[in-house]
Amino acid sequence: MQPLSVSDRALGDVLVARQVLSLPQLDEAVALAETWHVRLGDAILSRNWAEPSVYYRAVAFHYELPFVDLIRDAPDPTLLSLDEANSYARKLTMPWKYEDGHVVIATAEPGPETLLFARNRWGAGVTFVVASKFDVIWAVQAAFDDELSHRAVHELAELNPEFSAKQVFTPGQVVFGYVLLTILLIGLALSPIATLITLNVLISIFYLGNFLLKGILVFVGGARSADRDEAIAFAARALSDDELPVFTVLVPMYKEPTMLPMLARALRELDYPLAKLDIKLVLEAGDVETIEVASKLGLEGVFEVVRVPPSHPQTKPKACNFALQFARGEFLVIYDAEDRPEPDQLRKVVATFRQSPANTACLQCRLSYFNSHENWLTRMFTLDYGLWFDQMLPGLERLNVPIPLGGTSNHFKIEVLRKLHAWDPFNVTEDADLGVRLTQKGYRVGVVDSTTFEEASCHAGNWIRQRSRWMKGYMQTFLVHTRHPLHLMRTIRPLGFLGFVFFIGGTIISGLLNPVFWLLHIGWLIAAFSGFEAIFPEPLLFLCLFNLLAGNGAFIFLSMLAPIRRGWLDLVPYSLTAFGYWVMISIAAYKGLWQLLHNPFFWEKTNHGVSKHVVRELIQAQEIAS
Amino acid sequence: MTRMISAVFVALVAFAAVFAVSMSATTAGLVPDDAVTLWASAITAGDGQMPIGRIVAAYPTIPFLAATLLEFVTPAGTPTTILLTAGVLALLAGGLFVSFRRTGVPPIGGTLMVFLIVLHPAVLRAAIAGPADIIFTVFLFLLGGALFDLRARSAAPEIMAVALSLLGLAFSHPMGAAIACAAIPLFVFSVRPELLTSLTLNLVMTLVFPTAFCVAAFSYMSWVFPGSGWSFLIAPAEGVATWAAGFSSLFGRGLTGSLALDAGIAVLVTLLLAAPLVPFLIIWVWERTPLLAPALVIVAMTAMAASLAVLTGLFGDPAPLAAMPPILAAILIMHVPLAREQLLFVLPLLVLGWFGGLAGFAILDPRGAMNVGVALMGRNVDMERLAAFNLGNATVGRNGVLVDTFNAPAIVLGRGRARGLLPPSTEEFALGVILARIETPFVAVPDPQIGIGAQDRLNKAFPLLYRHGAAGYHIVYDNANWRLFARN
Repeated sequence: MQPLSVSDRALGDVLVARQVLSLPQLDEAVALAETWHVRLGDAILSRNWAEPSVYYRAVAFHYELPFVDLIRDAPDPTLLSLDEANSYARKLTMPWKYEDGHVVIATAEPGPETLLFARNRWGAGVTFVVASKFDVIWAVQAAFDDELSHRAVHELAELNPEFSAKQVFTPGQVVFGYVLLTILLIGLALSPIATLITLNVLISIFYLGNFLLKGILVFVGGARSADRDEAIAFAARALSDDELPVFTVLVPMYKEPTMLPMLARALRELDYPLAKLDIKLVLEAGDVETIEVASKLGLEGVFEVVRVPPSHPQTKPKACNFALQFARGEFLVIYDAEDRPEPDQLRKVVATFRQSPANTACLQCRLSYFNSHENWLTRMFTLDYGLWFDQMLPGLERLNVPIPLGGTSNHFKIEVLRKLHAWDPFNVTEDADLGVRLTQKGYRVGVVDSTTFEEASCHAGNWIRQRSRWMKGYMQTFLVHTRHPLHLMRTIRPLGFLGFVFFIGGTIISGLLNPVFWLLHIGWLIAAFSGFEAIFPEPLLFLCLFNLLAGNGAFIFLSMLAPIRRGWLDLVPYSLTAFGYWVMISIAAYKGLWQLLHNPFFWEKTNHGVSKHVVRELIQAQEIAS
Repeated sequence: MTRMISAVFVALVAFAAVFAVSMSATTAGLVPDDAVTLWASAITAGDGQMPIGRIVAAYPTIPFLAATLLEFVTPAGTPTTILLTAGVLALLAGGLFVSFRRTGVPPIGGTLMVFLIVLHPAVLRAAIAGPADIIFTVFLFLLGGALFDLRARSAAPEIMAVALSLLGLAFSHPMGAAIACAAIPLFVFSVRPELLTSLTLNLVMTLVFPTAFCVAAFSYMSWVFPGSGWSFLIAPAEGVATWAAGFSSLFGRGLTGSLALDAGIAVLVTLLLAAPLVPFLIIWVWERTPLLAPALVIVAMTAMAASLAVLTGLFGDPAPLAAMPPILAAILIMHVPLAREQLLFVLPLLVLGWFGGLAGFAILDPRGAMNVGVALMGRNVDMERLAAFNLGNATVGRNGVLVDTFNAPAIVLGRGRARGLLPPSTEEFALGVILARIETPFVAVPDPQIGIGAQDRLNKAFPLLYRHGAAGYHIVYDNANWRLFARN
């Protein structure tokens, strides 16, 4: 616990004298500030006891500085520099005007640190005014919207084009595809049966390899030491509040105003000093409805709205890239609007980072669903996620295979994120792509034993839309990272390469090929009964049948193992209906493929807040908010 | 590194010992008919002479495919099944050594233990019986170890290990399928108590699913590719009858008057004789349920499998279960601390068990024991098979030999390859029988007065062929039971 500074104590007295706070509130704020090791102002803003403008006017009074409204009285653009935009946003300090021969600095955090920073940057003769932090952020955005937006969209493509999905197919890949197709057509023309048999053999190897890898991952991942997880949990509990760093939380949302109360509640329930949460609600500038609800909700001062200017592509990674430029934390996490992370998640992440090798740049938490038992689809989705996050992900970590990140609850070291130019705005599974890119650049992705509960799509149409985006994104990720396959193998090593090919590629291929095998088998059944077995020679028939049976059997078995870790054994029998789920996956795969060719950057939005579970909770959260 | 070198040494010694024993046993005719059939089928498949339908529908699947693969990559005449058996046993020996060392057993003690187990009479019996029995033994070991791990942890890897071991058992030997059936109701005793809720059935479903699915898939494949996939349903029934006759000749009406119950009791008695260490360790861990439960489950499922096999006649005779005692002894040594700490007590018990294993062998495999007795007196156990083998030898260098190898698979072994033989699955054989005309370069038939002669398809189609030959053919080879004719 760190005692409050003299300046902050004096500020507290001023706030009480001006009736911004009551005495009990001040006492509580002081206790929080000392426990959390934050400034008094941060503690106050985290409690929503006063309007930010009222608070900042009091701060200006305390420091005997003028208060300015940067929205009405915008900074002089000639004093601003694009290269320093990030610095303005992080330090909440920016040049405002030039008066009487010296620069006037607007700051939301007056104090010795800001004084030193400003004098070093703009000279000893600077003077100061106080502005609210929201105004500073707004002013930075207003001044550099276009440039920051350009950076968010194009930085990766311009500085590291080989890792950008902006170009869907490279010329080399197109040529390779044509060569393959030509070989196949020639083979079919000259020796159709032998060609089909060869093709089936290759597919069988791929299928078998895919399921063998998944089986190995489940086996290896399940052997992950429970001791290690317990040690992390213990270390997390042992962390005192003042040891915890500032944690940026990005919550990209689009047309989800009803989810805001629930989201706010979930974030408040995190066992982390609220004043050390740098929460950014990342909203599209055109999403007026959500912005309006956010402003009227009376959220604490730790919640900031970042308005993302309209640009193409309109994707979640683009929005996150934009918001990243305003992030002030040491670590960063992305949550979706409906997410419910376990309260100790951030502490576990901090503890894990501290105990992990220095090149650990990202930690992925487990994902599951809070509406897992709503209907057949949510149960299957839960099995799907359980297999991925509870069983296979730890296996990927142990075998050093690149981990395709899940869409949420990825925790990053911000410095590394910025160094790698963050997410690819053109990739609709920017998370999967970033996981592979981190590994290629020599960083490590780890796994944390903490769960974030999400809302599973409970309607088939919504599910297919979401899954088609994932499939398309996996295709984009596969295409990007196989542009230079030898380089990929060198950077992530042969096992990592195989894992990447089978995991990402295997997911795509099995989704696309399953219907082919089903149709072939139906065709054989018809031919067998019509007496046209000659078109299905035994070796070909055997291979098709083998792929069909082995694939289905292996997937069903792995699905049965999925809920074991959480003890949700009631879900096991649903694995037997995996065939139906596979049909949906295949529909999504073909839809994704179609979109890859015709509209590669289109973000297929998933509707949230439609589950019965969520509707009930929304009502409760709204009641609490009001 | 030292440990690996020692493990390799142990494995090589085990390999050499088992290879020598298996070769002698084969020469003496001790190998059961099932193993000879499997070997001949593997040679035929490896030579590309078997339709894919028969290959995929063959049972027992794992030893057959392994033997076929080995046949494919080795020169003709290589004793592949013996190599396979010795190789698998060597792997078991090496694996046991590494496991013992990992639990703290000293090297010399560990080496002695390994040899007392892998060269136990019951395990040697399995080695002589062929790759199906030895692979069954290995999967029994894997399943046993997995059951202990399942009781300790009950997480996904442990469940996978049990499920896949069960699958391996079921598809390595018909007796493995019996164990799979017997194990189902016993799994509830092998999981951690906190998982024993109203949803235990779902957990059992997970454990049994791979086996059940593969059985269904196998059945479907057999329907799609009509072949010999279901022949094991017939052959094991004959095996049970032979076993019952041998058991009755030793024990008369038995203990209970019910052969099925007596089979289960025989397993328990064999356990006491062949591995006295096991009951001792079970009593020692009586109050430690995590160690007791899996041990009892293994014993119970083996006894139940024996009863099930005899009762239904669907899984063959219970002789392969004789391997359970030394295998269970090995598993308990790995999991029970006392066994690792009191070597001076454990080793003598293992030695005692080795000798007891001879008695156990006689109890569970009376016919096998009698055959060993005959072989030790310097006589060949199966003169008919030897004659067929010699005929096969005589066909070397001669192609287009019309002969019923399904009835006498030893011919294929004697020849070393299937190419050049015309068995009942070929067009020439079928046409010859239908048209009652022989036109192939060579034809071979057994004496219709002997056992296999009466079943021979050529003898049935041409009753006078053996005695009088065929028009336009002359005899080129003749032994006690077979004649080979060549076209003039």
